[in-house]
Amino acid sequence: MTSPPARPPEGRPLKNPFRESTVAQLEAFDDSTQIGTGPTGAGVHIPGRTSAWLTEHIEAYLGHRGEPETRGRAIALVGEFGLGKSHLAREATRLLRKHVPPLPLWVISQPSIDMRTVYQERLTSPRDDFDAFVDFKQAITDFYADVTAEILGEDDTDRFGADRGAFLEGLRARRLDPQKIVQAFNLDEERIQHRLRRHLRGVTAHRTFAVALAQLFNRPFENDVWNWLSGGEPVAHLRERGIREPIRSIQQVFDALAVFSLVYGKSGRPYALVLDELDKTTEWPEQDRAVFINAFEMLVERYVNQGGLLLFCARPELWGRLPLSLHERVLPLWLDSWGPAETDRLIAGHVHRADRTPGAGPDGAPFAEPALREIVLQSDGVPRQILQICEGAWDQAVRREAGAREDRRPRPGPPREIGLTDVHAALRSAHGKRDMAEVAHRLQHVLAPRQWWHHMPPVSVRSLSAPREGGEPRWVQVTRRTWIALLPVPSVLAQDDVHGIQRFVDRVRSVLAPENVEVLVIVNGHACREMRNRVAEHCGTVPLVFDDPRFESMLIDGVRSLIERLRANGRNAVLGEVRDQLETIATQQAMLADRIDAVDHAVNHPRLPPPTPGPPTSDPRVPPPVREPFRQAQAALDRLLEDGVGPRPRLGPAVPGAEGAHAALPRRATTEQTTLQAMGALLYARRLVEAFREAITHWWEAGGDADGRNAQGLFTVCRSFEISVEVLPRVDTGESGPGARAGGGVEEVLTGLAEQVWFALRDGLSAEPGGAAR
Amino acid sequence: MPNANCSLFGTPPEDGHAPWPTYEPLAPWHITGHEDLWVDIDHLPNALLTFRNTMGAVARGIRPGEDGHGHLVVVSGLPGTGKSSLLHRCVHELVQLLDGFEEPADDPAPCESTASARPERPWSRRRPARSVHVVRIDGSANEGRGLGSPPGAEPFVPQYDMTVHRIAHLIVEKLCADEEFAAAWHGADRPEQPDPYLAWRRLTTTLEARGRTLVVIVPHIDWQDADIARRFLRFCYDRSTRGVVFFVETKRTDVGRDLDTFFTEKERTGITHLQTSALRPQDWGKYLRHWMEVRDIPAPKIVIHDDVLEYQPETWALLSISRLQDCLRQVSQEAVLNDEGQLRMSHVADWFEAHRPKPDAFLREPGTTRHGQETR
Repeated sequence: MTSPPARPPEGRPLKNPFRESTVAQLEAFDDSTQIGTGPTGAGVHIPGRTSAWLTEHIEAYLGHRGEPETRGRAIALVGEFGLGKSHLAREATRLLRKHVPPLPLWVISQPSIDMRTVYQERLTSPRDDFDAFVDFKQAITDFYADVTAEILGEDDTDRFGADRGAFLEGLRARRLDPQKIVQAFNLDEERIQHRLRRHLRGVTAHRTFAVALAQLFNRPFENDVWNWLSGGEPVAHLRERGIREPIRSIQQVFDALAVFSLVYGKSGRPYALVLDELDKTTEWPEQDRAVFINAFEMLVERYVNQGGLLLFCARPELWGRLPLSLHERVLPLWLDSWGPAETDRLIAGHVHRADRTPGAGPDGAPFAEPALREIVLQSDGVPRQILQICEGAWDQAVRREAGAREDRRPRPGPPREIGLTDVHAALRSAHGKRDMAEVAHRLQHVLAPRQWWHHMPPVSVRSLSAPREGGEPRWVQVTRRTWIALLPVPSVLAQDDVHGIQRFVDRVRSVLAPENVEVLVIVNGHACREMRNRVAEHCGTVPLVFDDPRFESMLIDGVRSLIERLRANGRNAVLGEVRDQLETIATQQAMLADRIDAVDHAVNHPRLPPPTPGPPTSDPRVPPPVREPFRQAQAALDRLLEDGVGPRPRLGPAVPGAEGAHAALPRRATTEQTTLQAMGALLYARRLVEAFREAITHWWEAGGDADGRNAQGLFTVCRSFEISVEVLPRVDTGESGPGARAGGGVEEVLTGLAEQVWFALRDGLSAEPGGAAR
Repeated sequence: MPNANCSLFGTPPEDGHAPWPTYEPLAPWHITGHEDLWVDIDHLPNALLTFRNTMGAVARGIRPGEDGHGHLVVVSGLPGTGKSSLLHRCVHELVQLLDGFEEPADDPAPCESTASARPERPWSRRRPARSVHVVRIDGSANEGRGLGSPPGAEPFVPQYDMTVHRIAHLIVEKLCADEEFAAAWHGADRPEQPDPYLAWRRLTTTLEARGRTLVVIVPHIDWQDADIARRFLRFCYDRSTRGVVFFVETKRTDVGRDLDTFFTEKERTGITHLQTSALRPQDWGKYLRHWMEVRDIPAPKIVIHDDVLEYQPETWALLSISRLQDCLRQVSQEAVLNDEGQLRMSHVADWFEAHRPKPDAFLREPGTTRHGQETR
């Protein structure tokens, strides 16, 4: 008795659904026939932003309603490996092939230097497609009709009688058959052929193709011309007429495609060319590549100008190197990394692909949520990586669950759950197939010929151990004290792996000093962008992945760069020391110059002691009783004016700054508004005192003798002075020297002067109740 | 029922058996009496006059030998305009002229004397000329069909190298039909010369030994390429030396320009270009009147009423003499079949009306059924 066949739970697949589904390949011919029960190759299409854009452009192209010539466009799908360029191109070809009525579509899945084989064997010829063939003949017949109408328009034999206009109009309106007319009216066919060739040459810019297309109207030539257009050898009579070699070079193939573009463009119907893997050309010899790019540029121009749709795939590196004219004519659609939502849909789509029910199973089961997030992280959002990780994780989970069973046999059906450990195990298994010894050997192979190989580590770090499962660090000695450490590590999948690297780097830096060592991490396995960034953040160097096909060149470039960095570090250290010394010297020089300036100023502007009070010889007219108070007040004001208010201004060269390396700069002396106001007030006070003295003198002299002088006049003068002083702004001299009176200011000096004058002179007057003046 | 195939407006074959075929040129150098069917319509007298004037000046120089000259005669025109008949008429006149040089000096009119002493029956093969070999390339199809095509290939695709090679061989082959020439050719006991120039020189040397000139009639070859057509003209010109005259027929209307452009003035003295063109309305009556006087036409015959002579065909019908012949022949045929006794203008007018070119008769083929589209 046999057990019933196992059924997958909930419609899930028995086999790994991610196998054989990671690489999309374009098919030159439309073939939807399912042979056998193998995979359909249909893949899972997850519509994204770029996909929607592309679909929108294609539908706009197909639905164009304006002039046929204005519909042309060229679109580039630009993105890194594995982002789904080919997949999108394949979806585009499917969309184009679904169009009704069908349009001529050429698909080149991969350009090759041997373009003849591509053209002859892998490219659809108009003869392979009945509709395209009919279109082609129609378009050529249109050319023929135009030329026939042109020649008949010049004909003066009246061979059409009264219907001449109708014939010409019928030819130009594509209603009448030019060949029938030519035969019926015995027109000179060779003349028409000649004119047609000239016309076609004008539009194809290619004599050979013009001859070939013209000969398509000679029934005896037709088959041979089709053979030649399909890549065959030209027969003898075609060779005699200038078609001497088959379509085989890159230029000729693109010329042929351009001619097809021209012919179909003239027919007013859409037509398309899809070219995948343009990056293959970067591996070609320079000359072939230049020819290809030139011819491709011409083709793009033809397609855009003649109403065709040209779609091609390129990586960003190649896209950036394409000529400017292509950038102007081609619309780039950039493919971005996938986010968690798209990743989940992709995985669910594959898991539930076997269901064949649209919309079935939106969940990612059996993938656990942490596993899904980890796949998003580790895949860098690259769909191909996502599928590869999923495939490996699925197998890992199946093996894990089988290992847990007693009979060690895998359980039929999908795994119950795929967890984080399965994802990591799959990554380690897929990327950790190369031994660390191989890494060491490769490093030696690259470094030793360039004399960068140092067998032994620096003495001080010989006791350091590498991170867990890492290889033995290799050392490159740059100078006597500076080193580069090359640290091979296994896959960096989690933060623990990053910590292991960080510990090693920290210890090396602590021993050798950070400026004397650089650590370059070499990952012998997988490291996603996030992990690489984390390592780079700590090490200051981007880790290299050993599996990268450009590993050797990247290693050489990396070591060169680090050598340069270390040397620059060394130079910076020396320069720093020199700069510090120079700054110290400059500071000392500035201080000395400042002192010399001060001495020089003191010599040129000595601060002399105030003159000793002398006999009051200044003005003999001043009444004797008040001469002394006036002199004292005058002297006090003079001293204040001499000292000034605020700091004394200094001119001459400025004191050098901290750098000390600059030449002495001119100095600007500045003061404040309040200071200027105070000094003005001082000056005014002195003039006020002089005016007071003049008034007193005048009062004294006007009185003649003691009897003639009245107290009222004296009071008026003194009071005037007093109230004038009251409105003077307050002057804060800040004086604390010996010349300053304790607690006295300018106001006190002046107010005291008025009182002294009043009392001194009043006493000399006749008794008068004028004392009541106050 | 008597033989209903009317021989009117056909070309009498050798021995004149009815029915006379159509679309055959008159070849008076080959069949006696063909010259009597000649009608001087429109352009032909001028063309003949041109030929006679040119040949009159150069004919004495056309002779075999080192000091002998040759000539190239190019006859061009659209199909159905009488190129071939003109060409054969010119050949006939040249043969008569060259034979006349061989006559005794005291005979003032060799052609007429030959004609008057003609022992042949009407429409019989003419006796070979005394001084000239006439070689007609290809048969009566009057086209170079298959001449340059490889065996088994499409018959209308001429290759230049193959064509000129075959022309050289055909000339020798046809000349060898003459026993004396064959004896002289093979008697030299020289191996076949692979080099085309030396082979041709051997041929002219043999002709020189026999004192014969050579006339080669080349039909129109549809080269479908102006460059190759020019190369072929150059080939014929280069071979037209030492008593060899090439008569080349072509439908190319630009050939006159080619001759002026690609041949020097000196070279053009060895070339005569004759052109044919459309008929004039009065040629219709001229042609019919001539045919009404032709003798020896096999029965059944039909009377042509005078009103037919007054008919004026439209210009589109005058582009080709073949079209007139078609018309007259078909209406005659129908009249015979209907036992109407005579041909009337109405017959002719009806025929032309029925055959007037109408645009709707030249529509393109119905559109091929395409996926997703209805048949137009």
